[in-house]
Amino acid sequence: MRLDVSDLHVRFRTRSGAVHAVNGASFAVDSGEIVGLVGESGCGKSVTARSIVRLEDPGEITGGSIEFGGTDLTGADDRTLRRLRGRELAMVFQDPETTLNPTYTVGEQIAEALRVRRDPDDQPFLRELFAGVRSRVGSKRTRKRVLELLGEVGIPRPEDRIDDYPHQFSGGMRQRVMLAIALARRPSLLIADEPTTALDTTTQAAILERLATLNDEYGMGLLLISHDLGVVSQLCDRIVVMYDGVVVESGPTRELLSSPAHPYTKALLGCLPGRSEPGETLPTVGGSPPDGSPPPAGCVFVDRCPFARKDCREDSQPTLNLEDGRTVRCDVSDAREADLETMRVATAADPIDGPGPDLNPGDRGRTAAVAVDGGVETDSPTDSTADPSGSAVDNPILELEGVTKSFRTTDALVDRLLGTAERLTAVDDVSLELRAGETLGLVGESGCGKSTLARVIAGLESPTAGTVRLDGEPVDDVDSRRDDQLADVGVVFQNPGTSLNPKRTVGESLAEPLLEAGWGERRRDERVEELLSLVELSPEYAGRYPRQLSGGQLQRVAIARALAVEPAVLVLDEPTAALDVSVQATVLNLLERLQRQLDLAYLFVSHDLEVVRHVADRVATMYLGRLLEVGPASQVLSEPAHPYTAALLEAIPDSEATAGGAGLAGEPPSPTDPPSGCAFHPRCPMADDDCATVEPTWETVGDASSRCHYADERADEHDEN
Amino acid sequence: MSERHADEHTWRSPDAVLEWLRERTRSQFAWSLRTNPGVRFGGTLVCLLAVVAVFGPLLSPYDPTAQALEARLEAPSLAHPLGTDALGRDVATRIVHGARVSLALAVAATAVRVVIGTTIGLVAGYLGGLVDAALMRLVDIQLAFPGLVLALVIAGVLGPSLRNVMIALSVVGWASYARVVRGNVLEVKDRPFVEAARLYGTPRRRIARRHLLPNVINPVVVLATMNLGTIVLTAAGLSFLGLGAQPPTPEWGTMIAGGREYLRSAPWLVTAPGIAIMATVIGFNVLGDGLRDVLDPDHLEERERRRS
Ligand code: SF4
Ligand code: SF4
Repeated sequence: MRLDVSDLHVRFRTRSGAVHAVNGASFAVDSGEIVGLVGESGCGKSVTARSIVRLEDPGEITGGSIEFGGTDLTGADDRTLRRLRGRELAMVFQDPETTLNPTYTVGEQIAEALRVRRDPDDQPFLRELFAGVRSRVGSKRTRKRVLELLGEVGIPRPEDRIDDYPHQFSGGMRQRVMLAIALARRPSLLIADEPTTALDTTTQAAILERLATLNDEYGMGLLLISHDLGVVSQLCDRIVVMYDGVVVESGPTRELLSSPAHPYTKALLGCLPGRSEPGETLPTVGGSPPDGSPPPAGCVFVDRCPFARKDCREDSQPTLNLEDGRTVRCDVSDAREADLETMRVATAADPIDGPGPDLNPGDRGRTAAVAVDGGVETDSPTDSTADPSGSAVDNPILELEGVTKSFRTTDALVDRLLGTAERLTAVDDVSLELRAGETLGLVGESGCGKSTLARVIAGLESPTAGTVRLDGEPVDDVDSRRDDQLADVGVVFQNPGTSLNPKRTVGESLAEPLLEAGWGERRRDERVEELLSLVELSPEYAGRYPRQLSGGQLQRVAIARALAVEPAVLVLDEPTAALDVSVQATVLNLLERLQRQLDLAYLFVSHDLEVVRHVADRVATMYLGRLLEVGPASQVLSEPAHPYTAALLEAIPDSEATAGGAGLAGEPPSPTDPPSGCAFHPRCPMADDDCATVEPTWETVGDASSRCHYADERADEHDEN
Repeated sequence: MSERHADEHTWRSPDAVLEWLRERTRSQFAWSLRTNPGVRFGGTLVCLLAVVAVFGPLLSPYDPTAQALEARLEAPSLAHPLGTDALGRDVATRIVHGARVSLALAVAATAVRVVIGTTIGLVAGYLGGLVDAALMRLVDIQLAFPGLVLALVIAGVLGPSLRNVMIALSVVGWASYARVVRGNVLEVKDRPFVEAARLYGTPRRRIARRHLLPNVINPVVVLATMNLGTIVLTAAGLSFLGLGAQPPTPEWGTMIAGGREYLRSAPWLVTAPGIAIMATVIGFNVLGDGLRDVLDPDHLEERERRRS
């Protein structure tokens, strides 16, 4: 069945006036087609999706139509809607935590969906009362269907899991259950709102593949909503780009990505770190994102468009049809035809918000040089004795030696979560070092211990074994660190929304570390202003509260606070994971500049390999608390010697629309009970009998070292290719 | 890292305070306060009561305790809008004076509860471990006794007087504050901004005061507002039983107790203080409910979810 959204308008009434979320969006999804709806947060894509299944509350549809299989959903009555939602239209939400009912087993919840398909008008209230009497998974036939569904979405050993409750599943598995519930209805259209955003790259790859198969096998249409161009381009036949509640461009994936026509699409693609050379300044989208005020008469993108002309502002832009079924909403042919390179120049020349950095073009080469240096001076972590240069300046600022962190799981809360009382080794015998001016990228799936390692370095946890050395001196947790040692390490957390005290102004938050360091009031105020200009924010931000700032601005403030007392090392824990791509680009540029300006060492923790490839000089891969591979980014991320790094790289959804790899099967085993031998062997495609028993040692491969029995062979393979 | 710096930071100049106030009144927060029906209605009632309690006694021509036996049990009239009681005292004047007594007592007892409860909750939640376990057992014990009964016992043991009622009411009610504060502290203390404060070496005491307290205080405000109403009611109840204010002190509970015998002949003796108590309780409760909607949006969301 075809979905046809035309000229949809959705508005929210809030205390501070109406917010115009969708301002005339039009697009269609043919039956059996996969369409991606992309745009940054606040562009109205989720509201559009929810409006299609008529969950737009508390918004209201103020205009336009949504036709699905010939029925106009905007005017449909409850009965029709119920029937459609029960059989034809299904939706999967971003957050599987809150959309599964914690009090029923997953089997029951899927069976419920099956029942709804059979009889959408049946109100389950009475049956609900008998629920206790009869197991809700019910008849054998239903149970069999449920098992099939669980298998279909890729849950291993469904018979064992069918009677489990949602909390016994991991995030990725829960998302699969949600998918099974949606699929139980055999919908002709599935709307998936950011289905993989909360998940790891590897899990994400698995779920996306599952969606593609389902589309293939059952001809199920799919509307995939995402802010991630990579995800969308891997799966979709067509892409629809939304900005400020309006569709600015749409077209077949390949054409749209290779020659985007709308300046916004170009800007968005340009921001992707994967599209730039490592270390290069990323193009950004200047200006500020739309704020839900009534749309301008002319082009919605006019305030941020480098090609904007006078009439762009006044004249409503027509939707032009280009060849190969593409549409674009921009009437300026120069803008449409400009290629990505010109766009890049145009945006780079554009001042970013706040006082611009004086970028010296000659500087750019330097970062690349550092990358090479980093490669040369990398030595195997197991024998960190020889330092080729040996000079005092080159001593590592931060050294980890056999750092291990384990948690007692007898602690009531953890106990409940895991159902065990063992010791959980989150970080296992990690040795690393970090020098001034260098960026070390720490990558791995969630739960691999990378965040714990970051916390140990920051001093929020003290290591169970091994030593952390700052400037050559061993340190423990924050309570025992000296003031100058505290000042040496700055930390930036993942979620900028919670890393600032909501009750204190930006200025107060920035002044806190200075106050603790004993600075006087005058000096503090000066420094706060200095810090704000360092992160390209104007001084008046000092008086604002966090809730008045956007995500990107908050992250800038968080970075400024981390820099307040002039640290030598900055620990960045997924600093851009919660940000939109265009904002991510500005934050990455900022970090790059600060590093150069202040000669900082970064420990950059991230699950996003594209970002790490862009910023890191050296990369360390972590799995189940252990390091598996360490080496220069240029080598490790292009010719990985370790199968795990290779699998991570394969799982990256590729925005160049080439087929993405299948990624890794399964999930990491529980860290309370790590596998014997090579920890990675249960999931390793190259594993043999040796791997299950003998723990591999560090092998040196080129400038990197890798913990795999077959690292050398893989390296040889790379050489041959 | 001495307290000196802390003081520099906490005490603002009057200008800064004004600026802060201005920011506050301009904000969305102030707007939602002003437009919330609960806050409006409850707030009006409470303000009226406060005005009556403060200025009423100054305006009234009568003495609340002086007896005028020639004017016993007079029905409401122009001279005595709410009539007179068995000893010829003007009921309206006594109600107005009673408002003072009741409100003062409620405010004082609530203040003690808030301070004790918040401190205990903050300490327990933040320090955790053994301290937490010990303090929370104390809270459990306190909550295991019905508040009114415990207050009765304490007031009974200490002997009947207004001061003892206050003491009794102060020591029984703090546990719910401790609970609420501890719960919120547990949630806030692992937020990155608290960790960030640890990272730049903020002493624990200052973290508690500067980062935890402001972020857990909203539910306390709500709870305290609702509590004011209950305390007025409980205090009146204790006085009614003869444990609280002693005659001739003008107190609503005592007045009801005194008017009981004349219920048929002079119903205003009971209805007037009864309505006063009711208005106070309703006022505070509605205000508290409104404040909760404004200060605690999570709760609102939850209600929304339950409704749909
Ligand atoms: S060139 Fe004009 S119409 Fe085209 S995107 Fe820019 S502002 Fe809009
Ligand atoms: S040692 Fe074996 S199991 Fe481990 S990564 Fe290498 S090949 Fe795979």
